[in-house]
Amino acid sequence: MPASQLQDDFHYPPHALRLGARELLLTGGLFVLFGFLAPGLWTGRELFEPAADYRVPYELSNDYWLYERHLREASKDETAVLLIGDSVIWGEYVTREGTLSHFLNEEAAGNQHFVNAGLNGLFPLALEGLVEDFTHPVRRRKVILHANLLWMTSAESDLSSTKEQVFNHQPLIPQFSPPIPCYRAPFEKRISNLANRNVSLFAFSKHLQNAYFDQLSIPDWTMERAHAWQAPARHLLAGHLPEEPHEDPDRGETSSRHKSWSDGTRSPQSFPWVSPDESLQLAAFKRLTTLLLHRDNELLIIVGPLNEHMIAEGSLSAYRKLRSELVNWLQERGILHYLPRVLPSEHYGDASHPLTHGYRQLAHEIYPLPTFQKWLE
Amino acid sequence: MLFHTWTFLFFFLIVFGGYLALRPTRLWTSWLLLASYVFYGWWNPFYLLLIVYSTVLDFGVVAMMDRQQPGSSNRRHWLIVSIVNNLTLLAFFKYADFLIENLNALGANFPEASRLMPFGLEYLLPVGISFYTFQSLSYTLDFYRGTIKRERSFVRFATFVTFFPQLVAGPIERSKNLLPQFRHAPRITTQHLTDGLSLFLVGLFKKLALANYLALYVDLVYSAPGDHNSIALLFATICFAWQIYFDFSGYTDMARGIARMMGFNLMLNFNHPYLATGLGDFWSRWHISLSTWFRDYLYLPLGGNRRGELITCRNLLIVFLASALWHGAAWHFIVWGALHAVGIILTRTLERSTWYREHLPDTIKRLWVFAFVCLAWIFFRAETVGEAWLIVTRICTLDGAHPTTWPLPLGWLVLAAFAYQLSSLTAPTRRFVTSSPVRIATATCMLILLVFYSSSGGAFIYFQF
Repeated sequence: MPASQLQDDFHYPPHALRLGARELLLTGGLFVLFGFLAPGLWTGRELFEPAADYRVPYELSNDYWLYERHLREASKDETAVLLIGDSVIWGEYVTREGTLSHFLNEEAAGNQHFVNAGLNGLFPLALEGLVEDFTHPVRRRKVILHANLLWMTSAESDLSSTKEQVFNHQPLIPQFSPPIPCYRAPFEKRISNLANRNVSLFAFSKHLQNAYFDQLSIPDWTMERAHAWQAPARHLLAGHLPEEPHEDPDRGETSSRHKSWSDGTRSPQSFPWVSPDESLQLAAFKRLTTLLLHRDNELLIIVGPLNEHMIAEGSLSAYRKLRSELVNWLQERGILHYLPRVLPSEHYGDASHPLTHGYRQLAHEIYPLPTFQKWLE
Repeated sequence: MLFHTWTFLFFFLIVFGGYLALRPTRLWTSWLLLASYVFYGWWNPFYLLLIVYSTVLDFGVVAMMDRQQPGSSNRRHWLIVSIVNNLTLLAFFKYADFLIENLNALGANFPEASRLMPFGLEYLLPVGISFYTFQSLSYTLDFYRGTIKRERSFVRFATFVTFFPQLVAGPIERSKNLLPQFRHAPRITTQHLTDGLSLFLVGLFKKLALANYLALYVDLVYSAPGDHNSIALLFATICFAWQIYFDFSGYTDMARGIARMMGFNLMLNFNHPYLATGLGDFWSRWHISLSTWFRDYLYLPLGGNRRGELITCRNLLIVFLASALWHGAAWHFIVWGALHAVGIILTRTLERSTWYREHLPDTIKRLWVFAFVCLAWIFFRAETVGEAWLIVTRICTLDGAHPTTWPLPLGWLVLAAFAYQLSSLTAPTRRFVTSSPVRIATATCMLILLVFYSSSGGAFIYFQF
């Protein structure tokens, strides 16, 4: 209805934006249409040609929209096997040519395509949220899910302690239920996180910020002195998706971080493992497994191998009890799983992350297994 | 609970749903009252004690006045009780620290032990106290003058004082406008809903996409005025003029929009203030609910402009100083108010002259008013008078010691803001801007920009008052 026809005593300033019902509906419709079209159109424009061993770059670890796009692209290949997990799958100390997926690809010699679907900084509670909202292309696929029991070493790692903690990927964890005692975000933040996870346009907007605007909101980005005279739209159109650096000083065999855990002064540690019945991370991992199965995926769980050399004798039994609990649970449900042998001590960078040789050995151990070959068929 | 949050969205959906369900019953006002208390208590439940106290007292005072003969001295005494109570509350929570700070400064040479200790009230300045005390006070004043009848329902009166859309930052409603609207459940038509949604969208856009963006630059420059040259300081001041307008009028738009969706009419609070052609005209367009409050309850009772030029000037000075103090207990606010008072006093005669009214182009008048208002905004925005003075002198001396930097999009934003207001002046541009396709395109762009170009920002500027 045109503004001139609106008869009311309600005062408006001259030429204020006043929409009638039809105009509001049309506006809403156009906005929804934009929400559907814009990410798709942008996908067509944004150059994204992931290499065989592509993984989401460390700097873009919070870019869940890009993660989903990576999975979508990878899923186009019928032979793709997705390796989902935390930084153990992603490869904390190694370059992308030093990851488990890379060495599995080497072993497969082109017969299969193993995709690194790990993300740095994840843990089961966050992985659950990621799989729930950002892995829609992962249906009726072969999926290797990594179980990292490191997250149950203590109440703090398990996020079941009552002391407030700051941790990665907060938007991905359950915001309300089950309650995470150490997560004290205000109600507003939790709702906002849920909105960002469930409205794809918001996730797309975050992708643009993460990938092109130095992880800042566009207004904040324009405030940087270096960008003061740049038009954001032009910058966006001229930009490229960031990639992993060819020479990463923090990763790879030449980096100072790529060294055995026992090279320094570290000695075996005692961990106050959480009880399997009370572990939030273990419960999340179980829910995550169920979710992937409900999506008709063919699932293989790889449990560990955790760096047992780093676990003090007294705390090994608690770890093994926890591991048995998980294995029993998997067995009861007939879920295919494999427990690799513990790697030699020098192949670990810390309690859970293998180094390049460790990943190579792991792939060499897993790939020829008859069970694995049968599963791949 | 801020309007531009998810929390408020959930709150409003629940309140609106309950309101629609309860409208046919007598419980709808109680529901609105409960919602308003929840809304206010969300900040700090202790604030509720104060607002309930203020409400009970003013309701009781009017009940007592109603028992007295009109014009009797007892009525006057009860009015004084209400005025003293409201102003004391305001003074205690807003000005006690300011007073102590200044007394301590005066006695700076006295021994430490003899100094007054602050109450720590800076930590407990109830949000919106200036707004709801004035609203409540207007009820007792109007009843005393005989312009309204006594409200017999406490729930209705309490809903009037605490009505959540306008509780914390206005518009400061008059009892004769808002109170009668609570007597019967208002009709809600499609037009109410569409008007409300339109207003809310505009307000949200003003706050999140415009005011918050401008604030980034203003805060950057004003936090270290010594590190910026005169052009940057001047631009930041212009940005602040728009920031405070978008911030405050954005809040008002959202408040009016929410009330409108529920079938209530709240008064217009802003009417293109930067198109004003005189300082008096500016104050008839800026924060209209406060300007008219001071006009009706202070300026006119003091004699207005009926007792000669000198008394008029005195009245204007009193009104603007009171308005400054209403904004906050700080010298820079007082200078801001004094500047406006002096500006109006000095230009009153000029503005009434035929030359000014008929021969001086409106563009020049608007430019001069905007320049003056910006000068005054420097004192409003700066933390101290000394800092404001530093900014003024640096702008005037054309200090170019530091490179000029400002974000290019911000420059376009300011130009667009001017252009939009100016477009209301001529019929063809007005027709263009209000044509249906342009409105739809504008609203869609606003929604898109809200997703991609808004900056997370905190509370509204006027919440501190």
